[in-house]
Amino acid sequence: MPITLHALFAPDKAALQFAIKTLFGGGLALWLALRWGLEQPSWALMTAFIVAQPLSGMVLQKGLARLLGTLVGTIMSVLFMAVFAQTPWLFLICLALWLGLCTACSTLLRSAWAYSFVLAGYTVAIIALPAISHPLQIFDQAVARCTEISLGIVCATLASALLWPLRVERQLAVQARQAWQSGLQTASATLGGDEEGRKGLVEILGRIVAVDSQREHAWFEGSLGRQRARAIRGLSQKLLVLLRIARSVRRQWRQLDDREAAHLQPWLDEIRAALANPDTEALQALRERVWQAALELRDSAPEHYCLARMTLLLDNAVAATQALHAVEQGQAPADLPDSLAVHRDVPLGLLFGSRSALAFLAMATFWMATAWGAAPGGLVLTCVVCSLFASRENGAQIGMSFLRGILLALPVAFLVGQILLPQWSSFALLCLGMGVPLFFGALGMANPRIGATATSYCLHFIVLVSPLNNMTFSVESFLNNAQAMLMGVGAAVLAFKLLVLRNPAWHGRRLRAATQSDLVRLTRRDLRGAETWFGGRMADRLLQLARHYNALPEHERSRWDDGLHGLDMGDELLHLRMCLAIARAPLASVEREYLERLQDVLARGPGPGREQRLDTASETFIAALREQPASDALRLAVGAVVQLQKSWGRWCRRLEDLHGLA
Amino acid sequence: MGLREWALGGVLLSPFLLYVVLALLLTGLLRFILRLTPLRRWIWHEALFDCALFVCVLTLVTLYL
Repeated sequence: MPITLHALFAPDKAALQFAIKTLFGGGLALWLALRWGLEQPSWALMTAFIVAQPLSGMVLQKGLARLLGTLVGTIMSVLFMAVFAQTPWLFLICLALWLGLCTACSTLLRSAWAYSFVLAGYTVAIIALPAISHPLQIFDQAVARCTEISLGIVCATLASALLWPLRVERQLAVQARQAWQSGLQTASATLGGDEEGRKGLVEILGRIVAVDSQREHAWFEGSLGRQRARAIRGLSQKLLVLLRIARSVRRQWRQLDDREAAHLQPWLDEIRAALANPDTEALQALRERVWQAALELRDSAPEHYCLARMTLLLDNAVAATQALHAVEQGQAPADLPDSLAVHRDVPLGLLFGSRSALAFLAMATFWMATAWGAAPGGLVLTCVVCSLFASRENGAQIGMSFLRGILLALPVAFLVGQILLPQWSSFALLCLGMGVPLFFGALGMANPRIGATATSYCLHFIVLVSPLNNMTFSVESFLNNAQAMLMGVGAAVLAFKLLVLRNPAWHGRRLRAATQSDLVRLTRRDLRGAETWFGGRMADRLLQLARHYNALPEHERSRWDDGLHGLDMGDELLHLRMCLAIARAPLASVEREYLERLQDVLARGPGPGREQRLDTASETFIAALREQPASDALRLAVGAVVQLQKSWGRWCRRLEDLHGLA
Repeated sequence: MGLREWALGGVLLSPFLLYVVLALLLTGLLRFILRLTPLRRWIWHEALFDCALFVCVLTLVTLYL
């Protein structure tokens, strides 16, 4: 295990600093909790380890999310206990439902704040399950847990803010530059051809989403962090638009015949060179020249459209570069787009939720049947693992590394808790006994590849040693707890393994349906904010499709193409509506008729034999557009209508080929 | 042999725990054998099969050991 050895015995400076910070925060929390005589000081220590993150903003964000979730969970636990104290089964069923609901919500809310929902779910289990035999003390228990957890959060935040503070917003600038660079590269690759662009697209989408999710952390890092967080919003949107326009240039390129393509090839090469070596002024100069060329070629429609779109591409490349500068300088522009919308899948969330609820109920049945005193500990762990990792693709694997962490913690905790600590008595020696194993654990936590195991090791070590002011040492309860832990996590892993909710075909169908309904809404949605709304949701979907891409057999990979076709349609639709809005021609009734027809066709969905459905509507609309006095915007609108028709045809033919295969 | 606690250095262990460990080993062995034979092609849901196999083995172990 070279990674583990490397992480533990040859750590880099950042890992060492992180371990010292975490240990200091935890030690402070433990000391205060012991000093104030809180009921279970181990909770304060554990919380300090749970919220420990390498960057300050992340710690604060996670701490706040945890605090919020804990508060809600505490209130719910008191409520449940007040209502169902006499009827254990009803109590357990309600708890399972609540857990399922929280898991579902956290799956739907795919941001760092989802953690609050996870917490709201399992805090109820943490507080209410041990108190079920003495329901009258639930309020004291709730207050105690809440105090301990808050103490842990405060101490961890202090430690991370005071000792070698590492700020998210600084890394954000670096990540933003990388995203910008690979965005321009992908755009250039897309101009060159489909295959090259497709590979890059998944990567860049992942990067954009990752950078965008960091915004929430940077928000907590002073005014500069907030400005950067806002600027990032602009950058993500600009990059998504850039990628879509690159695809639209490529689409237009395909309409050119050989002579026209040869004619425009120098322009394309020049643009690709400019994107490879971006510089705002050069881009702007090139943009002017391309636009002039486009105006000169007004008579040859395909060439004109192609050059006009290239101009748009260069415009957006300049805008993206400016957005990057805004991020780097920490000055948010005044006209900010909305934040990226995400694709929400309610049924999937509910399925994840019911899996958690089922696993909990299975474990609870075991508890009720055996009346085993240590079982609530395991039950809590089932809740934790099920709700924390519900939406992860590799939930079972993470659960297994969780299990590995417990197995590592067992002998160490036995040595420290049952053999060493009984002979020692002082806070300093307690710190020595617990600090050394936890230090190595924290070193492991700093390495993302063994992070899950190391975190689980630290947490269970703390639970098993469970420092108190009046320590009681008992091998029997140690063994019982250990068994319960293994069973609890085992049950969660079993639930992940047995109820596998990843059927790529089903996912693909659902994502296509969602794309379709978005397209329908795009025909009538307000244009303001439509770009970020559609772009963000499509990016999210394409990423989800891409995750299953490698798991699919060759002929099923078209689902990803499905997503791309949907993206192209939406892009052309947006382009058309934007052109019409700019042209301001008196076309209201014709336009409405066309859009209604389009909406109708989109609502029925693409399919074999449906490729001609847009033809008559397009022809009528184009004729109406041509009757108007000529203007640039209207000319481009005609191009967009033609492209819409072609994209639709391509999407339908694609499905036809598939049916032919099947 | 009935269900009787096992004494290990003064710590009493539940016999069921030992049965579970034994059944786990036996199931692992059976799975290994199954993996070598063409029988494994007939398994639809591996995790479900393993789980069911474990329950069967555990029952047999508890009843007949």
